Amino acid sequence: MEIAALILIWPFILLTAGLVFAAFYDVFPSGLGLFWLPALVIFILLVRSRNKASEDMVLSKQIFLLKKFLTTFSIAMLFPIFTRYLVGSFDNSLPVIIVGLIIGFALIIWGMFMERNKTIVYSNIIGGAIVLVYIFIKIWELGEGARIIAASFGLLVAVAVSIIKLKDKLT
Amino acid sequence: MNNKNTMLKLIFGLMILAFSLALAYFIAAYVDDNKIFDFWGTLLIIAVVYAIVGLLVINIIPISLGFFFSADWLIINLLFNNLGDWPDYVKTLVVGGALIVLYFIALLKLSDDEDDALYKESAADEEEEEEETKEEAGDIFADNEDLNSILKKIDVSGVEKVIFYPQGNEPFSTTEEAIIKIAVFTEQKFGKSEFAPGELSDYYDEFYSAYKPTLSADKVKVVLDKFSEFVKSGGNFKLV
Repeated sequence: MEIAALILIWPFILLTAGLVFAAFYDVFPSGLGLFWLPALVIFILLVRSRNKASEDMVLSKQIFLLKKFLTTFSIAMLFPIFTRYLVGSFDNSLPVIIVGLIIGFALIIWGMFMERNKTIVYSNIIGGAIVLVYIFIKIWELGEGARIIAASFGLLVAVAVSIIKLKDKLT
Repeated sequence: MNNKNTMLKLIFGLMILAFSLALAYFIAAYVDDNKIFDFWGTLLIIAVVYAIVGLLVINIIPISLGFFFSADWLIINLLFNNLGDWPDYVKTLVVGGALIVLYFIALLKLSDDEDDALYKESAADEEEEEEETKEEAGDIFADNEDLNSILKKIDVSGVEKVIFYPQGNEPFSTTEEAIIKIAVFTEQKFGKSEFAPGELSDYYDEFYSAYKPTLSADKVKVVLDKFSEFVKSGGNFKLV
């Protein structure tokens, strides 16, 4: 049954990868596609390094890892797409772009603070980082005022996280 | 699973994939041409049906995989052709829905606690399985040595042939060195040369993998069929 499960998981992997690429399809010609590639490369490297370690694992453990990678990859790729469509739905308006900025930072912070769930940690950090890259490109297009808001917000988040997370280590 | 079966499964899986895709596109084109229903809508319905059929016949892997890959193909084709036409808010809702489902899966099913539990469970299972194997086999592979290397070390220079006497079947003999070595090994490990029906069934796969034939393909098939018959029916063998 475990071997069957391992074989039968491939159609679902193919479907997820297909969905992601179908969603990316209209992004690539715009040049923004280049920003998604590093995430894909990091993901492939992660899978390769983990696969070497998993050579001696039992099948059930390998299936579990495969599910984790699949879910991590899907969340990390779908969140930027979600943000992109969300921003597009409101005609690239500044308030929604700022909401996207908040989402990006929220994802990264959630990932950093999440315990006992590496799927959420990796997917949120990778997904959040791509969201931020996309949002900052959008903000850059909106002019100086928007850039100031974005930079201020980024600084505020960095300071807040440092105060909360690093306080004990510094005192 | 031997190579012949794997190849057959692959061929039948590919046939199911090819024919199911052809059927889907032919039906979709027909209903669209005759203005009965939309082309892409039909493909979506067929994809869902294929996925359901795949789930229903999950025990028959080639059929199941054929239908699953076919459903994948149809859904991905549908998305590539139609995703650009959907309004952004619809895409946001669809992707948002998928994300909610994925987060639920990640939070409920893929936590590190589940990982630890699985690790403990599989470690316990492995230990239990190892114990059972040792008990059943009388420690047959307790030293973890590969059967191939064990067989290589066995000296059969004084043995000319092995005669098998399967229960209820005609006796047969072979001078094939690999089979003689397996017989010598079995006798040494179990301390006997008489076995009940099916007593050696658990070890047949190991014997089969370790068997390095030196005969022609036809003779190998005859020897393997006879040996398999002996394992099933039980009986005794004699080294001559």
